[in-house]
Amino acid sequence: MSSVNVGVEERYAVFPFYLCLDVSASMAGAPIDSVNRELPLLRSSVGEDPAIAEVIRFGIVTFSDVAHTALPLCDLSLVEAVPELAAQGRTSYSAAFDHLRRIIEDDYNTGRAGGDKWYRPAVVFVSDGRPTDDPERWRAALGRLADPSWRRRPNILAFGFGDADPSILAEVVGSQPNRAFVADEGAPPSRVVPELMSGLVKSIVSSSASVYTGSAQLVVPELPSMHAIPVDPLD
Amino acid sequence: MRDFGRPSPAAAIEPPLRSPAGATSAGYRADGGATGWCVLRAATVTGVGHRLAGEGNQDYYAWADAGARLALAVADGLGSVPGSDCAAHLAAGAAVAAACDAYGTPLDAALAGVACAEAGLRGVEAAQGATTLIVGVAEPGREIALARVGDSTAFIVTPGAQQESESWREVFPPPSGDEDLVTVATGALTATMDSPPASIESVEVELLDGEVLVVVSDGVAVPWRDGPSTVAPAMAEGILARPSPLQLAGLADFSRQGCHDDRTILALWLARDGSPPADE
Repeated sequence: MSSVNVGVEERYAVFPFYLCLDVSASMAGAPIDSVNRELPLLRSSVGEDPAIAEVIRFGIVTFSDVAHTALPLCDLSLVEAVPELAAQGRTSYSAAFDHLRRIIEDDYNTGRAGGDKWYRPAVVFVSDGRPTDDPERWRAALGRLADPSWRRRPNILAFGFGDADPSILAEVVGSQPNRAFVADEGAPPSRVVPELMSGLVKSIVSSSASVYTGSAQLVVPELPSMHAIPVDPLD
Repeated sequence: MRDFGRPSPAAAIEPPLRSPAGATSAGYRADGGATGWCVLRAATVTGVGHRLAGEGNQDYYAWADAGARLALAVADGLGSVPGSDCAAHLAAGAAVAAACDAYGTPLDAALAGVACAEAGLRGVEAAQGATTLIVGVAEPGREIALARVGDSTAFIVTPGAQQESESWREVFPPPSGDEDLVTVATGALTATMDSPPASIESVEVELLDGEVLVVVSDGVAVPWRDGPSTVAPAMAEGILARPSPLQLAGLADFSRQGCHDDRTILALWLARDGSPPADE
């Protein structure tokens, strides 16, 4: 289906999801092992259901000292295997945000040339630690990603566990309520990560179902071992 | 089922068999007929999303014939609000009844239809749900009036156009906003007493010889706009051939990637000289 190239005058709606995953050294061991176990399940859950696969596009960005596109934005029904991820390095939020800004723009232009029409993209940001880069630097990169004048700016959901800082995750989502979540105290990564991946599948399924009925929404997953970070009202 | 552009793999899946018990409206409906001065065709088909979920059609159409006035309506229940299939049913029925009874011009009648539908939804005890609504009122020899809340819309299809793109035009302004990304805001009538009154748009249109008024839910309107080289010309050609009701339902039941919403089409032909419009 998406292999058919059509002119820009014919437009087909797709809902892009980017999983932006912290693969710094602190993710080594049980967390990254859980991710590598769960990603193939996500691929099969989404990719093998035609009703979901035809409207969802999915990509994986990993970040540590630098950011990479581990899985380019794609139709998961056409992906045979997702790459295995390895943990190393520090936690550069700025690398992640700058990379996302660049590939979202590139992917949008590629999709549009092929006739795709985009729902506002969703970024699912997952981190187990605080940023190790300069606060001014990652905040500037976040500002570029969330720039209101940039039309392709994504909706961001943030999920943290381990040493992730709730106040920083709240900043990542622009202090919007029910967009940032942190693991309950004492919840181990071995429990949180599978729940998170399973929740992401449910979010994608529900979001794609909302596309079917003509009122598209980014549906936030419900995660038993995580809770929403409260957002302080401003005066 | 015809493919318009990239086909939808989901549309090819056999849906679960639904029990008809408890269904508010038929999953598929088609009707048609003529008065002395107009011909009407109507069809609605359950979208792929609702079919695969084992759910019913949340679109509903209705018409009322008062002799020298025909009122028609399309309502599209909002999937995100429980009870919206009932709301669509109630709103469309109330709107055409009120529009037929209303005094004044066709525009007065169309506006009265929308207002009465809203009042009716709020007045029904235990009513819930939300729906878009478009009401059309036609009288012999006069402009047709349309009033709407939400994103259902109407097109005029013109025969003999030199270019495909000239064979149809939308009578309401198409959705505005971000040109790059899909916007999803939808106005609606709601059964909630404390919600603000709905914002109503209206327009009057004249049909020239051979032109057809086509009133549709967004399940048709969105692919029609987004498929100018596939959906739009096929719709225009199919409607100009004055399909039977079942042919119209078949026309609406096309396969296209990502287009899974319920679809409803009402098509109206008028005789300008007061005689019944001739068949093709």
